[in-house]
Amino acid sequence: MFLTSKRLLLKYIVWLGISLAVSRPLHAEGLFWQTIALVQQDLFPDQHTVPTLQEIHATTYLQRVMHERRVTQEQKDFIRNGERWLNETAKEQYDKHYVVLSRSQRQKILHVISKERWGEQWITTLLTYIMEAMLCDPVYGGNSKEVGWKWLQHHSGLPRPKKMLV
Amino acid sequence: MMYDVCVIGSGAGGAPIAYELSNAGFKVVVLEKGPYYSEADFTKDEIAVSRRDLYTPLLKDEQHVINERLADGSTKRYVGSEYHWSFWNGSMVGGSSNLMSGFFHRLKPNDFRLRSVFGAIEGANVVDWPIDYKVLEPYYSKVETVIGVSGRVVKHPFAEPRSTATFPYKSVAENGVTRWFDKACKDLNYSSIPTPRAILPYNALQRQGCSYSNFCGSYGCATGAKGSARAALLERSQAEIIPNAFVFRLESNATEVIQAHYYDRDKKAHTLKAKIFVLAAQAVESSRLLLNSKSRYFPKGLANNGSQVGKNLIFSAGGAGKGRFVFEKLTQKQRQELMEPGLFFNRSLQDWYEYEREGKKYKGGTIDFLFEHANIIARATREFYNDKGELLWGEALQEKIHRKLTTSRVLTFEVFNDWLPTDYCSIGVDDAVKDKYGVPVGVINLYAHPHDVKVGEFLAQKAVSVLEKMGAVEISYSISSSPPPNLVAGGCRFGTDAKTSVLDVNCKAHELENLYVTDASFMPTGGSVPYTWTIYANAFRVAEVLLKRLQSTKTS
Repeated sequence: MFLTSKRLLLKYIVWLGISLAVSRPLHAEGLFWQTIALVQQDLFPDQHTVPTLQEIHATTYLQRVMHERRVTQEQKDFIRNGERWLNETAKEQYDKHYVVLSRSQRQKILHVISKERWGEQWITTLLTYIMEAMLCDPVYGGNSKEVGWKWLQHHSGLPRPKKMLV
Repeated sequence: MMYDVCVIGSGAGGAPIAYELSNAGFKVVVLEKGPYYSEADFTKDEIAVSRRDLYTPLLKDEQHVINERLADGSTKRYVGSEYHWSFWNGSMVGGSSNLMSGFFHRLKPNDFRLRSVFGAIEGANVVDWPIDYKVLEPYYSKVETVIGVSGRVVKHPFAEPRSTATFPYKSVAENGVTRWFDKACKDLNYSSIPTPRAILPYNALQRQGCSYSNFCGSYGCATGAKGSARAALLERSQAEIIPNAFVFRLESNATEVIQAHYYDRDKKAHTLKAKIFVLAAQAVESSRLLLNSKSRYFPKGLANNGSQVGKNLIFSAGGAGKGRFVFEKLTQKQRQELMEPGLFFNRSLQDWYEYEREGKKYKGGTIDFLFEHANIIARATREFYNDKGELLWGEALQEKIHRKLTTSRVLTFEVFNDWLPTDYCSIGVDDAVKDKYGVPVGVINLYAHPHDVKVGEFLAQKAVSVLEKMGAVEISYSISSSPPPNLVAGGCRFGTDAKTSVLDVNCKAHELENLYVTDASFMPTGGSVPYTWTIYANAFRVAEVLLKRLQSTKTS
């Protein structure tokens, strides 16, 4: 880049400042969702006969839930705080972030936190939203091709929603 | 404009008034706090309806404060939004009747004279009703034909007297498992009752019949088969309906209500004048409105110079239980019957509506049986724990969910018995917490008499005996003093003595000439059944009184 004038230099400094300010939260946000996606995988692993998280769009479903007006801020904060506390436990046990642990190490962390009240609640919260993603009407972005309903031989009620109501 | 009648609330208590009086040619307006959903708006959307409670207000916007009286006599305060404790049910035109399962039972003759028949119970304010069953019977009958009640009359020890031999509509189609139930009851010498339902089995009353969509309770009915106040009455009335109209104050002089003040959805205030005001906003909210309508004539709240408004709040006592039928114990044919979706399980027991134990006579109740709700997400989330109470995930959870939901089905039961009225269970308004309109929220002072749980336990054990006989496994039940938010009554008792009641025998406020209350607030005791049929019937009774009053005024 050629900074041909003071004005352009100033513009560059402002741009760089904004980029740095934004990129840090974006990085943290990316890591948060990377952790959540991995926990979802650990809680509801891919199996031949079971709908996969990719098929039910579990992570994008939860991302949408985090913007729902009818989900309380307290619930959204709890999901975020739980991820932080999970990583604190991972640090205590292995001095590593959850996403770089082995599968067996991650399972151990889940077992450890499940004995804590918050941890049990956090796991059941994530499981609940996996169930929603797997068994909601597909208009909500999960349960693609009704894969969850087919797995459980479920007949949806009629009429079905034509659009998301929340 | 001056209306003849202004009805506040559009559910089972308000709609019969609007229907009868507007169709008789009087100018009736209905102010409803919630939105207007039509049948085209109702879908079987588990996320919106059941997971996110689309039909009730957000608690951060509108809530209640609950003061629970504990065993040691102390009180614990719960602010609804902080504890996620909701007492809302169905905020929409037609109210919660849109969302009911439509299990319809009449009160029995002795429900009208509980005090006389069963005597006083220490700590409870049980009184006889100022009317008897005979007075209400014609209106129960009217509800059957106007709202549309389907069923089959059978003889049983506590069958209530009927002025007609049969229901006007035959029972909705039933699941084959009802035959297993009937056989078990026969073996146990119990009387299996086909539960009457406020559901049309076929097209009638200018409404479509049931589509057997497998989702009924909690959901609005897309065909109009369910006898909601909206489908059965309001949409067949000439009344003007104003949705999203929250009435926050009734203005009066010393003897009459003059106008209603309400906010629209944009929180813009309006006033509305009428000759007669009928309040039917649901028991808690009706008392709340009266208590919030203070004036120099009524410094403690409208119609409350006698300090009776809000007293003797009641719910339906009892609880629920369940048992599971598993494929391992069933033939192929039985498995098919069990898993058949859509068809109803309409069965009740009332063998112990009254019973004796150790020489003492008890008022018992009703047990309704029904299949576990079809909501698939809710059913899956119930499998998160194993038999030892340990949280499952991974393959163990996946296997359990699949096995339980594809090779078994749960039959549930609900116990309904009297919630005894007491001094400690009442409605007030809060000094500190206000709703999104800036209006003090309702306070629910909560207390359950120990007698309620004792009777509920007795009934639940009878239900268990049927499930055992049927071959169910994993049988469990829970009887508690937790109040069901959809079964609330009292707060504005009717009676002949103004010192101990808010309303007279025709549900007119003792202290005002033109104020009536026609939701479940009027009930001194609740009976041991869901209330809806009785609310409808009583509202039709009051509608007849109002019709005569308006006609005589017109003539004079």
